[in-house]
Amino acid sequence: MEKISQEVILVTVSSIFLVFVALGIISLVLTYQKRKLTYFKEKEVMKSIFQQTLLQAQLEIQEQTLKNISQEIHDNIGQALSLAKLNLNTMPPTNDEALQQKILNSKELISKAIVDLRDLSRSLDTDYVQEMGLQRAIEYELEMIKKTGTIENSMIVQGSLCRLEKQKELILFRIVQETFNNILKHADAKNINVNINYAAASLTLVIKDDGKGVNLQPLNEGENNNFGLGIRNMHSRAKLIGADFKMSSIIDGGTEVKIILLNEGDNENKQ
Amino acid sequence: MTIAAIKAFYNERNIGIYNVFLLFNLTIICYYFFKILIFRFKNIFIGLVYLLGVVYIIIKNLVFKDYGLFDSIGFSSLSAITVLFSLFYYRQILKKIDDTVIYYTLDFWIISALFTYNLGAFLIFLSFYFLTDRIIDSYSDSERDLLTLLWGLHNILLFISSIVLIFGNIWRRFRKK
Repeated sequence: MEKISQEVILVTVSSIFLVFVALGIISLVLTYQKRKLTYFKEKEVMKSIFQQTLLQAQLEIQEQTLKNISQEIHDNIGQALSLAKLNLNTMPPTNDEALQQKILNSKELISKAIVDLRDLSRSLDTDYVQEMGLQRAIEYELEMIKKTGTIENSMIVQGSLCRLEKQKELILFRIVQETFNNILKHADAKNINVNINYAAASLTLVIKDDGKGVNLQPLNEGENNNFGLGIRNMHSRAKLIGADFKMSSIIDGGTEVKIILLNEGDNENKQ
Repeated sequence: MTIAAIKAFYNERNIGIYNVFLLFNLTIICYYFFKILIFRFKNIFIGLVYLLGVVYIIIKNLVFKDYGLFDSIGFSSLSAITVLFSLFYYRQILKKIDDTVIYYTLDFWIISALFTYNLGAFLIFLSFYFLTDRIIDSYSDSERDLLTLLWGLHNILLFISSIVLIFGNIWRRFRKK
């Protein structure tokens, strides 16, 4: 009887011990999982920071390159063309009317080239864009597009003009430039409409064209090809300044790009 | 004599129900872990375990017609299998490289409840037959109380596992909100 009693106690104690072992194992699994999740979160944050830094660096390099090109156009090509025009102006008059006409045409062409290059130089120059401000820079771009005579455009501004951080304005402008570039190259559009809405809490920028539209499905499905590269780039740029980038398109119905930037009390000044 | 015969019949039928319950449990456990676990030889391993269990139950009940005492070997084996499968599951979730929050999943709490109960109950099941077999000739009241105590402990384990499951499920729903 006593032996049985001891055995029952032994089984009882062992069973209780095993229950504690089981609870211990469950706690260990939970703790390990929690740590693993924390590690994953930290890794995600680090990855995001790394990507942002990388993108920032890429943009800085790109801006520097554009600035260099702008300076080269202004200082070298512009000067060379001005010199060529000066030479033509200082040419002695001739009785040969055909030659005279050619010289006149050449002078006009050179003048046009100088104006176009100056416009291009300004458009590429980071400092100039930042000095002008986003709205004026977009207007300037639209004027340049209008000069080509192929696409009509209009711009509607709602609310009172509000300057943002220079870096944000520059990034927004580069997105707008990329959008215009896409419209000119691929959309086959007749009109471009730009709408800027300055609200108290946000800035909304809508660019709409009436072109042939584009199928965005491959991009939405994450297919990695050159088609989506520019759009992904715009998306990344918008993300860098915390803006919401949306693109919608209807085949033969045009494309719309919408950028919403929420204000974070960082408006520099109201004009 | 009549009472003894009724008792014997009742006891026999009671053990028979336990044995059917064992088969039922084995089927549920094997099916559940078959759905949950992911490893290379899962089909063969779980299939073999189930097949061995079924063969054991058939031989014990239909061939040997052993309805005399509680099937300690059968139930303790089932407990050991459940513990083993649970450990496989824990290994699986710890090895998994993703950000799934396991304590938000019902499976984790079900398996934790099963694990707690079966690890604790394994020894009780295993010893129950041998202890009963040793005292069957004398079977005094004090000896019967001792075995009842052991069975009571088993019920407490069942209660603890239910607490684990209920607590886990409530906490899971609460945290998800």
